[in-house]
Amino acid sequence: MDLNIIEEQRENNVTILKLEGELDVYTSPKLKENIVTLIDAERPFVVLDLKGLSYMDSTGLGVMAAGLKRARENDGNIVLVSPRKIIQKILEITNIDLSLKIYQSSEEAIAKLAIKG
Amino acid sequence: MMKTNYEIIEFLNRVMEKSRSAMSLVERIEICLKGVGEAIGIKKSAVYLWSPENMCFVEGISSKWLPLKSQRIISQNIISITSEETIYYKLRKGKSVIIDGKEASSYIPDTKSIFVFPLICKMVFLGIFVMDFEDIIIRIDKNEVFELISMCSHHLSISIENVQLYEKMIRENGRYKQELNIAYNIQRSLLPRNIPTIEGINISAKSLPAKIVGGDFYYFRRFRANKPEVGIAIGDVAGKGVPAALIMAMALSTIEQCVRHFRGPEIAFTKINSIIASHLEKYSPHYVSAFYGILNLKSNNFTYCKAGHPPPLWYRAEKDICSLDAHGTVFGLFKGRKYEQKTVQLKRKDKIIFYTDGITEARNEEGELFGIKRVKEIIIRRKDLKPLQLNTSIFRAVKRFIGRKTQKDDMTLVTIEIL
Repeated sequence: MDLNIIEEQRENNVTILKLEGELDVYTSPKLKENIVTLIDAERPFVVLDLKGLSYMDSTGLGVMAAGLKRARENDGNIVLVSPRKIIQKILEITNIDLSLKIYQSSEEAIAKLAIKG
Repeated sequence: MMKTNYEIIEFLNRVMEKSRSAMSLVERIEICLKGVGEAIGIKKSAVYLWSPENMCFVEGISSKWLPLKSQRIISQNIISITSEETIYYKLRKGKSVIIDGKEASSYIPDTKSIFVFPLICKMVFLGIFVMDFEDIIIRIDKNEVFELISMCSHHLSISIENVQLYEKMIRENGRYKQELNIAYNIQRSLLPRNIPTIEGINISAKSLPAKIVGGDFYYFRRFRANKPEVGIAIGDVAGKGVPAALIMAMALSTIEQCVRHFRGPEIAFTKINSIIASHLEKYSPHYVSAFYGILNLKSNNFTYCKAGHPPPLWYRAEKDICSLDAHGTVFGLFKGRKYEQKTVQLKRKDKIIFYTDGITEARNEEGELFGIKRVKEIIIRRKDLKPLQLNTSIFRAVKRFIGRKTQKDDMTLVTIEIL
């Protein structure tokens, strides 16, 4: 299945990326490209809205974590919003939720974005 | 024979289409030459394929009207490179030439002169299309014949290039598969060759990569100095195939070394994370999950740490199943992480089932996940099974569950039982 990314720019260099579909070894390069482009364009604060994400594998998770490292090196941050239960589980088992913080809404995420994990 | 050029062109197009369905290059060329003969009456013709390595023509394929067929011919005259005006250089530049006399007969028997058209595709010289010149000059208007020959040569060149690329791809694929098989054997040898026989416990392990090589691993270590202990580890590199296999080799080696030097899981894990993170490139999306525990064979205490790995199942004999969980993130992503160490007391007939997520995340044709619940059900229902049979039973259940779907991720199970 494919991955759809809808971009929504907000003030203070924050961008919301709404993910729809599946994030796996085939589609994760697309997300990586989006994140790198935003950070290079000096928009290092990214909110990943995962409401529409039905599946994620280890490659997808790796791309999100690598994106976070890159954002932090550019004084930014990446946070997650509303992952479905199955994806939340992967984040919890790998304990990556300690670094990639999860929030229940984009507004809450944007408010907390400046706080590093 | 067709009268109008339009009819000829239509016919030749159909012939070229038909030739593309032929599997071998020789067949394709034979179909084209037959078509040219039927369309414009040039029956005495042949194609010679060029070998850049040998600097000569290595295969001649003739039309059905000629006796010679697929002969190996080395033409000394045509490959002479002493002068700029040689035939070879003219052909390489895309110019057609006429060859008279005895030389002509060496390409097409019983001819006085031949017309040679170069076959070139994407600036690569592939061979020549040769025709009895007499066949040509008695045909309809010369220019139109040359245009038709040019069109046929163009199609022949593309055909030859396609088949040669395909054959190269098959050869390279064969070489790649050979290398993968060698890599498979190397990877197998990194894993414990034999399951150790250790007094007081029964251990079994089973691992199945999704592709030929994979990212799952397991490890046992029997500590002999002053304490009777055995270390057991299981791990999973994010991803699969060759990239995961390479990282697996690095991660396993790191774990082996650290476990040897730093006995306690907590200290070992902190060190392992630091080393693996430094080995991976700056923005690498790769990481390694692992679980490691030390079993004291006298007291049956099991001390463990978890690094983002699915928590193993602890079957407490005649009681229940619970998870051996602890805080700790995957190796390789973030340096300086802490790992929580825990200890549990095992009893006789207890089992611990270590697994990788390829088991629980296996999907069937309806998209349903195998899940941890099914694994627990098998463990409880078949509590009589020894570790080897239990692993086999779980693997069989997963295989039945996924049905015709291909295995998507590496799958590994390690089961220990306290005797």
